Amino acid sequence: MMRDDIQKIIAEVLAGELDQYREIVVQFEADVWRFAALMLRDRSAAEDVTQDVFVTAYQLLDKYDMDQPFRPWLMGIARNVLRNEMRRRTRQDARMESYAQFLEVTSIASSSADHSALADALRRCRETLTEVAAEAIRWRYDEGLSVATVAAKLQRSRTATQQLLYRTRIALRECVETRFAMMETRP
Amino acid sequence: MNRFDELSLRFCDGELDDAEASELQLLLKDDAVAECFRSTLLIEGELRALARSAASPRIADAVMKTLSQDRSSRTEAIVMTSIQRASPRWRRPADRKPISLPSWKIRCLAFGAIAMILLGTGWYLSQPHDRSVIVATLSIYGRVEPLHAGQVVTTEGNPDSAEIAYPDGTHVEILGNSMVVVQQDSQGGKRLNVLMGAIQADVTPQPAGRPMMISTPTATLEVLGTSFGVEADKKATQLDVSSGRVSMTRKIDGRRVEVAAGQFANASESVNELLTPRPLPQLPDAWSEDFSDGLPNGWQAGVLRSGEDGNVVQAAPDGHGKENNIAVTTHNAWGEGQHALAQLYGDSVLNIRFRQDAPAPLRIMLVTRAYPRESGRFGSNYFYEDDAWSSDLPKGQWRTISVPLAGASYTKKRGRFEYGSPPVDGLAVFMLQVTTLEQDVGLTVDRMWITRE
Repeated sequence: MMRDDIQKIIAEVLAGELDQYREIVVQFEADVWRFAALMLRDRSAAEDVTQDVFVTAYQLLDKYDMDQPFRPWLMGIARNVLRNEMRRRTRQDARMESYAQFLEVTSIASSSADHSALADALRRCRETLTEVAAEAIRWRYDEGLSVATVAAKLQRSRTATQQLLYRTRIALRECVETRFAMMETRP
Repeated sequence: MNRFDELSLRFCDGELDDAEASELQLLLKDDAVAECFRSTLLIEGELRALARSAASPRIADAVMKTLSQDRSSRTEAIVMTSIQRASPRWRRPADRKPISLPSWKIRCLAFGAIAMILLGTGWYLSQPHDRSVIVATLSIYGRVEPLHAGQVVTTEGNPDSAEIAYPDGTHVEILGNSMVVVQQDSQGGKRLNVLMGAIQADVTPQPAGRPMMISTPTATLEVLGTSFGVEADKKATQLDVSSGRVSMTRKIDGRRVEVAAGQFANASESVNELLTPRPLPQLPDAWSEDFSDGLPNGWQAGVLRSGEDGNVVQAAPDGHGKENNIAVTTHNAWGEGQHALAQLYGDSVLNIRFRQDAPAPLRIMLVTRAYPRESGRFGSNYFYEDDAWSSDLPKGQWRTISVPLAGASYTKKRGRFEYGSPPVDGLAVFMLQVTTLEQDVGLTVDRMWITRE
């Protein structure tokens, strides 16, 4: 969806067409959820925060300057909502703030097109995993199971499962980096 | 697995203790390690996003449910000014070609720039935008309503228009099929965001350092005090200046030109097109369309048919307004960068060769603008009706009617009909419609042309 389309939808929402706001949610929900999930490392909490971000954005929509791109404005709101959420959480989560800049830049600056390319590369890299590694990733991420549950399903110890997940994620990272490197050198 | 990998993955799982967090922080002082950490986060985010597809409808539903419950209070907070809400008929963008991810190094270098942009955005958002402030009044349907900062004015259908009047005497006429957001900056400066459509404005000299700012999808206009017209869509903005001077900045490359009285300029979405002020052209006093070359770009209603006598256009639903008339509607010549179809004079005549399958009242509408602009004068929509044109017309037989344009049946401006025919001198017609209203009786037009008697 291009910037002008977003602006027109926003104008319609401001003019009272509440239902049009669903378009905005659907368009940007992935970006916000990804950011929240990474910050909070909790699927359910990420959903709750994502909802809060869009409700807050709606309440502030009349303050949005249509001369500016919408996504950074929305992600700025996400950043504030997440900071507030993290302040409410435990000391360990509060320590996450020291990494917030990394997360913000990673999640906010990269465009949907970046994520699309990354998602594609990741999908292809997952196809190269061994059967057991692929199962572990699927259970852990696709199905959101705990490490302990994944370990039980694999009939391995928790430590061994954690090691398997670590190694698999490193392998995925190296595979994705290699793919991007190949794309960049391609004429 | 090295220590960094272990720590970064424990970080992703939320399992770092204080000592490990400090250790990771130390490691991240190395740029290469920091870059690798960012890669890890990106992939971790993408892996987590895999669960998103299942969550997506839930989130959207939950948001909409919350907002619906909050709707009554929200509606109260937003004073509505939608004249006739435009339907979302804009096209979805064509699929964009995926962009390859830049190298990690480039991404790292972009970090500083991005941080600066984020900081800048934060600053801008901190500026107050108070919806409760009444910035102007809106005249429509004979009523005058307060306009608050942030309100949207939409005019659907060619016959619509509305006027924004500011306390300092500045007037902005919003023509049909337009969508304009009324805003005010923190210093009280006037701001209009023309998302689509056309406006004409007489701007009273503005205080030093606080010009009126008009934004369109492709340009930003800075106005100190002048009369001008703006036609904008997604791809281009045409600015006509009748008096004073307007600064026009093209958004795509930031190039700026001064457009003086009697000049016009176009700012498109392409840097390859000239951004040069040129003299406003003198419009022709005649116009003709016989469809021999097909339909002009932007033709609004009607279907081209080829017959023994050449091309003709059969009326079709025009898709505008509540009426959705069966019509033959020309392109918007102003919107197509032609300023207008023709200049009008007291002796201008519109000729139409048409046929119908059954008798039905025929209505002609001329959408006009003041051209060249005179301060205080805006266009109107001129309507012409005469039962004699088609009441005795046999099925399928061609007839040519000649309509003196000085003799309108009625006009419409700012949502109000007025009987009588104000002078057409000084006006230019930029769109023309022939319609049998809601009756589909096979109205077919062979040729339309404007001449002077």
